[in-house]
Amino acid sequence: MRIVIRVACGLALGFLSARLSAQEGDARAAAVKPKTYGVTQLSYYRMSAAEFTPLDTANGSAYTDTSSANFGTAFQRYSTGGPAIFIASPHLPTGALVTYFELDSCDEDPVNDVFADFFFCDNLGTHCGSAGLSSNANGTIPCGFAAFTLPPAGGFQVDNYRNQLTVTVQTQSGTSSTRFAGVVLGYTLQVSPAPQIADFSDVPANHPLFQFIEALYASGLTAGCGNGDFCPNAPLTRGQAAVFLAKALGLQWQ
Amino acid sequence: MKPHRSLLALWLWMVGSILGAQSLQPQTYGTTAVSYVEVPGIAFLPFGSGFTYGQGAGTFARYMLACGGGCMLAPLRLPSGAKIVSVELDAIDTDNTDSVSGSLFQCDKFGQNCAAHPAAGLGGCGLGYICSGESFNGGPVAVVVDVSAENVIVDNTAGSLFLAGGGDTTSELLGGMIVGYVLQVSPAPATPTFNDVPVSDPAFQYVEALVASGVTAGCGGGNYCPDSPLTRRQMAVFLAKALGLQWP
Repeated sequence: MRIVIRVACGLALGFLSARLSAQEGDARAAAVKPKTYGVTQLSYYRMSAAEFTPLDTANGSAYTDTSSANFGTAFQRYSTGGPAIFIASPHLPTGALVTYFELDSCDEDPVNDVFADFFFCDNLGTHCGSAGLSSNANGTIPCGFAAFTLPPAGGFQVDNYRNQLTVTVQTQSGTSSTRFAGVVLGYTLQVSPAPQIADFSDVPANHPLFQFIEALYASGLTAGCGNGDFCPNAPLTRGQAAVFLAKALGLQWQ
Repeated sequence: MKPHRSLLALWLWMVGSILGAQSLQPQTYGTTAVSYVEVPGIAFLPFGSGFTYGQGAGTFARYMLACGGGCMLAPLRLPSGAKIVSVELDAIDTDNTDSVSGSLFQCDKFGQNCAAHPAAGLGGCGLGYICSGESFNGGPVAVVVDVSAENVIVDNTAGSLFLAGGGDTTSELLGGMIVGYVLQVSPAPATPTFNDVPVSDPAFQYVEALVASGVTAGCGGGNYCPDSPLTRRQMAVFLAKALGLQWP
C-alpha cells in the first residue's frame, strides 16, 4: 500500500512543481510594492487565484478559470457549481505583523457578491477567528478591488509554531459573474520585544539598543565579545561583519 | 449579510484563546535557533482528481474519503541550504480504528527515488487520542514530532520536498504539519578567494559565503581587509545588497 502511495506521490509531483512555477511567475509580475524586509514599511504578499482550491469538494467543487475568449487576456477563477468557498494559506515569516488585506475581484452580479476572509487558527485548524473581511459587492465596480485594512491596534502576528493563517474567498453566484484574481496581504517584520533579563553585562535593560542586541543573541548570531560582554561601542571589523551577515541569512553558494 | 457569509460564522470560535499573549517561536533567520514553517490542513490536496475531501465541523482540519493515510499532498517551501530538524503532525483523531498519518517526502527533481521521513509515517497518535501541540476542546494533548529527518538538507535545484498525510473520516482529521529547520552557511571552499583571508582564518567560511553571494567584492588588490573597521557606509552597502532592500 505504501509503495503505491509513493508512486502516486511521485506522479503528482511534476504537476505540483509546474503549479508552483506558475504561481511564482504571477507573484513577480504583480510585485509593484516589493519590500520584503524592514520593521516600518509594509511588505506585500500576493496570493494568486491559482493557489485557491475548494474548501471541500461537497461544496462548489467545480471551478474554472477565465478564458481569453470571454475576458481578454485574463486569469481569474470562479465556481461553476454554485456558490463556493475557495481557500489557501499564505506563507509568512514568524514575527510578521499582518495589517493589510485586499481582495482583487470582479463582480458583475447585481445580487451576489465576492467575499474574502482572513482567518487565524490554532495549529489544528480549530478555534479560528476571522481577522478581516474584504468584499466586492453588487456589481457596482465590475473589476475593481476592495481594500480592508486590519485594525492598527490589533494586526495579526504570525507564529508558525502555534498558529495557521488561512484566506477564504467566496464567490456567490456560481458563475463567471463573480470571480477573483487574488488576495494581497500586507505586513511588517518585527524585532522581538526586549526580554526581562539582560544577557550581556555591558548591555543592561536600560541600554537604548538592548532590544536589538538581545534579538541578535537569541537568534544565535553572536555570542558576544567574551567575559559576558557584547562590547556595543567597539568598532566592527569587516571580518566580524561577514560572520554576522552569513550567519543571519544562512548564505549559500552552489 | 448573505446566507453564504453566515456559513463561515460557524468557523468563528473563541478568538480570545488564540490571541492571548504568548511568546513567539520567533526565529526566522540564523543558523542555530530553530525556525518553523506551518503547513495547514487546507494546504493538503488529494494526489489525483475525483477524490472527495472535506473539513471537520467548525474547523479547517481536513479529511479525504477512501484515504487510508498519507494520501493528500502539500508543497513545502524552504530556502536552499536549510536543514530540517523536526516534523510535527497535528491531528484530531477521535475514533478507535485508524490513525492519521503524516510524512515528509524527499524526491529527486523528476519526482523519483523518494524517501519518506519517517518511513512509517507519523501515525502513532491514533486510537482515540488527539495529537497536537494545542488542546482541542480541553482534550488530551500529545505532540507527534519526528527528528529522524535531521539530515534532510533542502536543495531546490536538486529535488523536491513535500508533505503527505491524511485520514479518511471526519473523526480522523489532518490539522496540519509543522516543519522545523535551521539555516546553514555553506561549508568553506577548498581555495580562498582573498589573499588576506586564508583557509585558516576563523572567519574564512563566512567571508567566502559573503563574496559568493555577491554582497562584497573585497577591498581591492585581491584582499578583503578583515581587520579593518566596518564604516557605516560599508554597512549600508552590505545590508542593502544582502537583503535586496527596496523602497516603495
